Amino acid sequence: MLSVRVFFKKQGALSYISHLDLNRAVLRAFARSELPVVYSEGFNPHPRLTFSQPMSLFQESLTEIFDFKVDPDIPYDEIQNKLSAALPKALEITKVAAPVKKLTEITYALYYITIMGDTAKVADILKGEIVVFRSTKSKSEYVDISNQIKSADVINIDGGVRIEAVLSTSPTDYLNPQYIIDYLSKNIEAFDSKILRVKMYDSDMKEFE
Amino acid sequence: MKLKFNLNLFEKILNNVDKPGRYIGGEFGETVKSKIDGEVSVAFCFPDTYEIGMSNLGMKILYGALNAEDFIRCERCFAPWIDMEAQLRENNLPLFTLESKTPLSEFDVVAFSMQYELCYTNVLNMLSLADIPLLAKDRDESYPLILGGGHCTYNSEPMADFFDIISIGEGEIVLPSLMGLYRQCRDEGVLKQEFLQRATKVDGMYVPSLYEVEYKDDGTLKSFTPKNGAPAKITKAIVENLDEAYYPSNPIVPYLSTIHDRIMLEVFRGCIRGCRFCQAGMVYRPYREKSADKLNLLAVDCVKNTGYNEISLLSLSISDYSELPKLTDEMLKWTDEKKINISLPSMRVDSFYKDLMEKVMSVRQSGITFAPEAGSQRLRDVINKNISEEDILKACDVAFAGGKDAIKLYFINGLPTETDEDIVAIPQLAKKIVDHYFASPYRQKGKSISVTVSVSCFVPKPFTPFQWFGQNNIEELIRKQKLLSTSIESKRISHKWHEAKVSRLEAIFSRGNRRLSEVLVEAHRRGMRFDSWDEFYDYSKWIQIFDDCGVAMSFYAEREIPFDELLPWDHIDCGVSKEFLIKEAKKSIEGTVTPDCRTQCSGCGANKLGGVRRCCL
Repeated sequence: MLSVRVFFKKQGALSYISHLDLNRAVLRAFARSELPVVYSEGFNPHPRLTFSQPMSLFQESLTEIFDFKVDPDIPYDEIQNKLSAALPKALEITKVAAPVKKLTEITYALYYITIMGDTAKVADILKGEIVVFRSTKSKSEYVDISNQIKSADVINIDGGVRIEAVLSTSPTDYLNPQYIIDYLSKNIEAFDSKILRVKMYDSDMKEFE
Repeated sequence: MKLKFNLNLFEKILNNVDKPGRYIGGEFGETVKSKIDGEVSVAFCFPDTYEIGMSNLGMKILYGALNAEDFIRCERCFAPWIDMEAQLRENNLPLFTLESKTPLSEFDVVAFSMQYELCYTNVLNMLSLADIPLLAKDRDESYPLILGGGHCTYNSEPMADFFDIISIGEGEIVLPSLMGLYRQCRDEGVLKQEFLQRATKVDGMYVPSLYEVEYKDDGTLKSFTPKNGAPAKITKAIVENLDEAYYPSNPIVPYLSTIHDRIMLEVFRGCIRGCRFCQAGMVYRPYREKSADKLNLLAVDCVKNTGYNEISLLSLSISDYSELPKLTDEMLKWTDEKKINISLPSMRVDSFYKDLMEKVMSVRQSGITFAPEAGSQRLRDVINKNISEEDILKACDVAFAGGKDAIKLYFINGLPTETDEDIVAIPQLAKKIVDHYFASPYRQKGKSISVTVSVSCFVPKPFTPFQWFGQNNIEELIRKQKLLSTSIESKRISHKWHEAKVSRLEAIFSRGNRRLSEVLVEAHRRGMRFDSWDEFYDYSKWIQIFDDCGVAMSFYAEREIPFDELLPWDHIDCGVSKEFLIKEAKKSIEGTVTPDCRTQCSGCGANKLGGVRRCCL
């Protein structure tokens, strides 16, 4: 049995596809690829497929991950070729390799958050407390998300800013970058935002592999 | 000035709509062709949401068959949801296709698939979003050819004024021919009018503008006269040999989950049964099958090309397929191992046997559906359902033995000759099934049964023996629904029903004539669309629109039509003869049944269309 980690880009058309739909698209690609994907045991067996922390609709990423297993073992480049041919064109695989660390060890991610607005004002806001209303399945509350922002550089670009932010991105401590945009839009004149996930890191800020 | 498509703006508005995946295309299996000189471009439009349109088998077949031709570039378009429509209008963006994001108005041909009458307002709304004039007479050479097709076209008169050509019957062979003719005429510099006249020579092509309609004072048809050499009758096109016909073995696999998100394998066309209310059972005759060998090969290909894990065997009545045991056996040889489910919708109670259930029923499904259509034997004979109460209880036995504890039954309210006794017989039948369960040796300890009675309203449909019968008025339909509800004596029986107000509009447009086009234009002007969606259907608005147009709803829905009256769809020939339909209508009143086409040929007339048939051998 061989563990497989697939790195892929979620850009363009794919950013309009929900995580659930993407998950299904990959399952169907498995079936088309005829790779010997390992299934779960039990009453309703299905391929064992695990994704890294999913992104919301409209957000893009250069570095998404899904893991699965094959049995018997086959070379990674063969897996990449077969899977690429079976996936929708928009889903671009960048690397297929053995997993180095567990997906749960992803701790941070670098995002490029672009937004049209005043650079100084954005930088100013990001220095202070950022209290947002966050609702999850279990509770809804006001929280300060500033401690989930590990770092944030504000860079002036044409007509707006690019915030290069490292945010908490672990399964237990995850900050959706949209909260930052919502907060900015509420407090200053800011519009036309875009979110791009650029890199993922482990707890030592080493690039996740 | 024509609206231009702006890709940047489009990307921005995608952020403001629900389910943006509906509008982006790019799915696995999509065909994207580059524009080439001499091509014929077709925007294939489905006047409902993406999820519904992408579930339509006809669209899959035609998209594939058209794109299989090198000179045709066929792209898709669906009715944008309300939020997207608002964004398009606000930003002055025209309606566009998914593949190349091209405005519909830039295509040579814009084709609409009309599967149900309540989509008519959506067709008009899509034309208006595409900045194309609604009425055929208002469109000059600069506009695309507007082509209609689909189930509704057996009586498309309410839509006749909007279309240049309406394709009657099965399109996979004749539509590519029509596109070839279009290209030839364009090369020759032939104008639209001349092209339309030539198009009538292609099988099944109906050009509404080539007919003059006259009415009597009472609103009925006086005459329907062809002009400029158009044929007096348009005979529907059929595919003679289904094994040889194009079938899409690599359909598009949507990202979004659609209504029928699985492989659809068409097993046969037509029906040997002859239920007298059923339009599909008449207009898709003659009965033609695909061979089990061919279907098995297709199934293998479809699974390989799509990655779906469910195959649905489609037909009007799957147990009538003459090679069903062979087909299911062949498929089960490889589907189990690949963890692929086979599902058989449309199962008749008189052929639901244990062996079949074990082969195809997923253990996870707790329920099963049958369609007795009427509660009493008398009324089942009137509609020629040809099943007995014993058949129904036997089928339930099979279901109980298989561990099913939820039975769903379909019925129709307001059928011709229906009395209150027939209505009360529906809950009585349901009660018998409940009692049968408790007396059954298969009853599982500590488990109970639920029977759901799902009731729709009778809609008289063109080309059925019941086309001459009126629909009950709304009050009567509602009274009958209440009577049924109050006659239910068991907690284990639940009752669901279809809104009578919706069925009434269906009946009006089903039996409509060209005078209804004015009503549709007015409805469109007042913002009517998505009428098949509960959240948008507004019956009171429709009443107002008909009133303001001076058109009586009851004339179309409720009137009993004499056999000798000229019908708005008499110029269409679907194969089945009017004489046969009259004979069947008369037999229905007497309560006399007609055997199925394999037991004995009833002489419906559809055999004149030819084809490799498996009826009246």
